[in-house]
Amino acid sequence: MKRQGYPFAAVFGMDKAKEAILLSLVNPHAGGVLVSGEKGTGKSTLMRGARELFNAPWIEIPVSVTEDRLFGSIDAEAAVKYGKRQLQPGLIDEADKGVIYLDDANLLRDDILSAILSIEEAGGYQLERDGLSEHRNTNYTVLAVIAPESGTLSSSALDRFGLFVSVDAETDPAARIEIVRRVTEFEKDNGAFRVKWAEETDKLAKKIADAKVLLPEVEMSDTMIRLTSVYTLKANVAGHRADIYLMEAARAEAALAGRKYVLPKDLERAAEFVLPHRMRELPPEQPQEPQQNETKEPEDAQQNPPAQQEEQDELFSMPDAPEPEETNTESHEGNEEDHREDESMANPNAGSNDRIDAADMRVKLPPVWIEPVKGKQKRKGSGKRSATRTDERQGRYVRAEIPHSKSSDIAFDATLRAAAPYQKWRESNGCALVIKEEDLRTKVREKRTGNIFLFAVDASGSMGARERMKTVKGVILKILLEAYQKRDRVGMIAFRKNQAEVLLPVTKSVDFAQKKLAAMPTGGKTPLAKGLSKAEDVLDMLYRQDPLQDPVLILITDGHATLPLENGTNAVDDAMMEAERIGKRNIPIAVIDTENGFIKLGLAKKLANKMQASYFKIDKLSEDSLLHIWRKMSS
Amino acid sequence: MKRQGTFPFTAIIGQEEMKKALVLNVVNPRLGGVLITGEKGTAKSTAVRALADLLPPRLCIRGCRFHDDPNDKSNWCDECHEKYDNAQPETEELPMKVVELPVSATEDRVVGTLDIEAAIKEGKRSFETGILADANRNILYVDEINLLDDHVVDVLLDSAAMGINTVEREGISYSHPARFSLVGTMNPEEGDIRPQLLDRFALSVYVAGEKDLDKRAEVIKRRLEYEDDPEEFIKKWEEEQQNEVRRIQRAMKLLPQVTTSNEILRMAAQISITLGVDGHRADIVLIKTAETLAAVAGHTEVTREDLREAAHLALPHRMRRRPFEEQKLDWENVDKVIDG
Repeated sequence: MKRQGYPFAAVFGMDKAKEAILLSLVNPHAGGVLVSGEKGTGKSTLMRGARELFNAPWIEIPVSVTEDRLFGSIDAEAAVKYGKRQLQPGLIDEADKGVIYLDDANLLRDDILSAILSIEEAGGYQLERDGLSEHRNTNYTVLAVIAPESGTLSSSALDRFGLFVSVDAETDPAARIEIVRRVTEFEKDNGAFRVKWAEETDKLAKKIADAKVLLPEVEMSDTMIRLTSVYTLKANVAGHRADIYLMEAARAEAALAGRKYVLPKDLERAAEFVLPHRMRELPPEQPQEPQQNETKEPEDAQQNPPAQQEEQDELFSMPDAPEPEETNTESHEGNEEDHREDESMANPNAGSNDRIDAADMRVKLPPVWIEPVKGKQKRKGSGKRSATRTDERQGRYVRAEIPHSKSSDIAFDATLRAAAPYQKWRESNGCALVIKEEDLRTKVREKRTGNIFLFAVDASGSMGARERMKTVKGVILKILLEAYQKRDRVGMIAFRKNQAEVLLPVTKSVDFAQKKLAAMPTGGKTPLAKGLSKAEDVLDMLYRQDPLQDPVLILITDGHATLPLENGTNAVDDAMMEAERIGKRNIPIAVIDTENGFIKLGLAKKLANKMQASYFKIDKLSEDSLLHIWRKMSS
Repeated sequence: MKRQGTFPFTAIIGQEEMKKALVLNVVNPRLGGVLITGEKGTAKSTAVRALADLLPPRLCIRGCRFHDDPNDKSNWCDECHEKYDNAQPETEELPMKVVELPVSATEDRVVGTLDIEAAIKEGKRSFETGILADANRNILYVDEINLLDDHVVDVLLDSAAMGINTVEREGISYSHPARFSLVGTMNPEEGDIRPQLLDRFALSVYVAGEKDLDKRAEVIKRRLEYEDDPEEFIKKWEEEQQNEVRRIQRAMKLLPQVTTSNEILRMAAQISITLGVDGHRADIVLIKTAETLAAVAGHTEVTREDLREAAHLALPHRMRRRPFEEQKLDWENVDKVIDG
């Protein structure tokens, strides 16, 4: 279907993104363009407008794409009619000499995104499908947008994009009004609007075409090549891709300016696009921008954005967490029971010796990494964290296979392709197609399953000591944040005083979890054994719901059990016994030890051993690069 | 099976904001849908399904699978272009529909798939339309939208953004117009909705159970009356329903004439800046909503009150919101901007 889209030239602002797109269209060797920005900034509108600026294929890859269409497959129609094995080219082939556009690249399946980017780099691929085997050459440029709030790209995928731009909404009222005017005008009569902007569009198209003609003549002097290396070295990038992209982008800058030689300012401008998404740890004394003192041209002084570091942060880190609320009490000494009360957040259910801590959001927590178990199991649920194959007729159709057992989930397209070449020799039954049992193919579906995180949190008085609870809440919040992005589910058990309670049944609403956590009071004895036994109840229930789901238990405690299961037994012994029982469940468990002070009993470590859990000290958490939780091999 | 009648829209008590938001989307199909949030049993689904009875007929190209608008050539499907680029299309009047997307729907049913019958009988590769094709120029309703599978949400986002459904799967390469008003209902206790999907809704309303004792009693009374004899009940409300349809049609006619002054445009921009919402969609939706409200109210110039009302419908779900921030809307500041 032909699109009568919003014209590129009529997009207000976003000059940097426009420049990057032009560079890439003029010189495909400058690499593709990745535009990142919050929703509603018009980044997709801009990208889609670019298709009118050049005369070459423009291929959009929808997130629902299947492999046969992406890579190509046997042309079933031709096979039936002429009995010939003939290729129906895939999108990757159709994009030759043109552009592949990915809207929301971070929603594409990882393997598909990675294939598209690798083939872009290699300029071709080997097709092995449906009995076809051939090498196909294809050269395209990838343009893509991502919304960082729905997850980012892996750093290796990022590295494959030559140019990167981060866009923001306009903050100037006059600019915003102009945007609203143009958009409403376009929506009321898109035909007239497009006519109005046709001249501008043609101008841009001509500018690109002219620059393309000039490009082969644009030369890089040795000085400029050296300067390129200065930039990339300063940015401390990995590998040499950046040097090539930077050089080629600078050449495109020169060509767009109508010059046959590259100036330092071309490199400087190009560096803004090439470097931000690859910069690693920067040297502390010059954190913001590549060195450029000797080469800087005065009129470009404002061109180099101090925002590079910010952009990088935005891309790589989790969204900013809110500042801790100022409602918190000051620190206090650690006695067993804490007698302070937080007035502003007083909980009616809390006893007089309870306190409620806010979360300390300065806590640094490495990403949670759950060691995947070998041989993926089939799991239920919907989320982002791990991809599992599913047997239900739900989930995304990934590819087709020869059925292993009887299945009703037939992949008709694949069946058709399998049957097609033999039609000439099969006896017709009145249909155009005779399908035999050996042709049958079934769908392989994939569903992203999130994990279930079950927190068991020690909320006793000892945890209130030295603001320990603030740190604990900070840690839990950080894990919750990650759960939010990955579409995990969370549940929470708190044990304190003389009981353990399910503070939060397992839910997908991380928001809700956050509220419950904020209101969680601390104080009283430590019924650790009861807490563990409650965790078991919840795990049992989860198992009954679906034996295939695989919850992760995160126990946060100092291990100082003070209340036994029943009167007369030993609190610590009871806890160890419960721990051993949980250990037999073969689920991934992490124990976060909050013990501090001079005398350390090391009880939490012992608990972790009993449970065969991954063990972390809360103070040391920020030093690890990953919160590595081992998934035990199921026995 | 003959479908039983639905509870009349106009007989729903209270929930004025929700009803208003739904009606606005009928009056202006380009508005961009509404998300209705609320606890169980607050007539969310009833209201959306009841909306079907109020939907006015509109002109379509006869026989088109996507009910293309004969007067909107830029959004025609390929088939209509092929047939009618050089010929006058035959037209027919069809009512707008509420097309339901069940949470259990699979991706191939949503976007469309290979037509198996044509493949086997004729050896031809052709496209069998899915729910998104039905939804073109209609209302697409997703009950419990927060429980929708992630990959279905992805394809929904794709077409909601573009107004085009692009299918590249199962040997099929096809694209067709898919412009729809997205209406979703959800109970927030059962899970969050993805921020990107949330942002696609022009409006959002929160519904709670009726607190007023008399009204509560009236809710029950009407429900019982309806269940006792649906036909009789529907007949009783027929006149009120017809009036509502006329109101909607009047507003639709008026809408193209509604204009917005510079002052109002500036206020809308200022509101967005003051509240720090993401992107530019808020400004655009504010103006579109205010214009539609003006049309419903029967005037051709957007007033401050239209803008204020629009803000209440269009902003609550757009507050810049990191996962763990409480979402608070500072109405005082909004009022300050509007009252100058």
